[in-house]
Amino acid sequence: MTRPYTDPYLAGIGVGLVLLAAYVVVGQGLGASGAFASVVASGTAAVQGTTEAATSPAVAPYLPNGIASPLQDWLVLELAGVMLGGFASAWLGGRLRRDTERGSGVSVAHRMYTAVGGGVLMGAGAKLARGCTSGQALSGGALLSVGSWIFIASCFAAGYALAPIARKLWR
Amino acid sequence: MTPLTETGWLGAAGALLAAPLIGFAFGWFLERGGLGSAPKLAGQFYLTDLTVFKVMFSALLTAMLGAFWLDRLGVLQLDLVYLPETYVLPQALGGIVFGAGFLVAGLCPGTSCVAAAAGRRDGIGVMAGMLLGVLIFNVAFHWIAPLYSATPLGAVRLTDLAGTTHGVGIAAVTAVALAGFIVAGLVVPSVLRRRLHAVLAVAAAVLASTAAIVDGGTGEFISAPDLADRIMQRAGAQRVFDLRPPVAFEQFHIPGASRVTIDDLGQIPIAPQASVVLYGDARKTVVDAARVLRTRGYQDVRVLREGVGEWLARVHEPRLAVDATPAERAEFERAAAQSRFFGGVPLSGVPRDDVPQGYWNGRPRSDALLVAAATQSIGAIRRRGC
Repeated sequence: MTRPYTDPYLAGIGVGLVLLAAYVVVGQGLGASGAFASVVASGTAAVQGTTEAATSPAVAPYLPNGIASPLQDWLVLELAGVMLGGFASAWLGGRLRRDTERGSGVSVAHRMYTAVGGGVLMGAGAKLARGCTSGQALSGGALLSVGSWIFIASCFAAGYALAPIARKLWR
Repeated sequence: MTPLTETGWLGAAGALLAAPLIGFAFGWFLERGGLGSAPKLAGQFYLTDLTVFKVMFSALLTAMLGAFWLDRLGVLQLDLVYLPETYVLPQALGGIVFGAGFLVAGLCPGTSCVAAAAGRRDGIGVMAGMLLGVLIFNVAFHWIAPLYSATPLGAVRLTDLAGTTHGVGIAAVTAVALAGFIVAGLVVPSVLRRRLHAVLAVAAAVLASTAAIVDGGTGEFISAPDLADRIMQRAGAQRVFDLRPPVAFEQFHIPGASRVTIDDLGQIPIAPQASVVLYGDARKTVVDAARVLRTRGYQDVRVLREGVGEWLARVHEPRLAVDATPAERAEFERAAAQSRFFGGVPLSGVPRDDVPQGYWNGRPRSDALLVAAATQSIGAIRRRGC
């Protein structure tokens, strides 16, 4: 049986307390896109060899001491936790099911293309912006970082500006 | 005092142990709020479901207000929490590309993981796309690099640009967010839990407005090189007060400083027009001491933000890395002259690893300066951002 979602403001306060705990315990906020960057860097190092991979300034920062293991990275462990937490909550809430969520009138195949395509844009955009909705907007925004608020503004401005074009994806 | 990793309570291994726990709670609350479902997130862009806005901004307010008040209560040193650096152009353009992707995917990076964990194939698709997007960025980085590092502003807050206190900035952001919540309630009317929401909003408003009132500015800061210049020029009446324990003072103190306690400052005779500089171990003590002097009517009271650590690093024992940038070289020239004046030893040609991050900018991080090696591994993570 599917239970209703928690009140969004209470869920938000929960997320905020987790973010606060991250500030207190590790002195930095939450993140997500950085973990993807870390995994890609480790993959690159596995294919090219660590020395070769480290010559790229886009990859090198993610190779601590030249040892390219994603599990050594804080963000990757954190994101593994996110998946476990999401799984546990969905399970207890009766929302655990195999499904491809999409707008009505969108085929499964079409939805998978837009999911991957949207992911590609977010992956590149988050790299350029040095963070995503978690690491940049939320974690930096709560510290009043100028760049974080620039990111929030441009992200939502683009989303709303392009929303009419993408309307049939979500109708 | 916290952050635990910055104050030496928690090592790199402990931080890694905390990571999955913090992540678990993050994923839990995202899923509870409904952010594991793409159509629900996408509803934000069509104003049919404002869950994204509500969750995101109530989280932001909670963390912002919580961090401010924990700092006030002496629990958290907010200055030591990693503040992302601002690069105006790449962050604006990156935000646009990201926003377009968010609209099409219906999920953001964190929520795609939650969706995938709940069994949604589209969540897995977004995750795969993220990896591909990062890979494309890395391959194309050679061409993107000039844009990536364009228009840097450093680690700055909105309040630095506006020239106001952190407390006033917090109050402004809270006011805007609460107004947004009210508008959200008009756009998508809901009768559920209205009384609870009203109580929460009042609590946020009270915490934010008192933040604006109590934050009289943590004071005017002075950098170590500027203090050194002042002492060298012996301009006007000036006093330097050291608020650390006697043992630490005996070991080393800034030339000309006198050791005082915060109680001494209540009655110690000081020339009315004197410029006063304070430093110590605990930022709270120093800020409180500055307040005592301002209450006594002294106008020119400044705080050496990172205390003796900053003095040693930037004046007394400055270091220049082998591969120093021209800007670092210029800073070092100034520091070397000061160092010799005060009998210190300027070191040039030092390996880059021995020159901690943030060494030459105006806001060195005390722990990075003093226990550089211990914090380097975590430092590597933080430089990566999100």
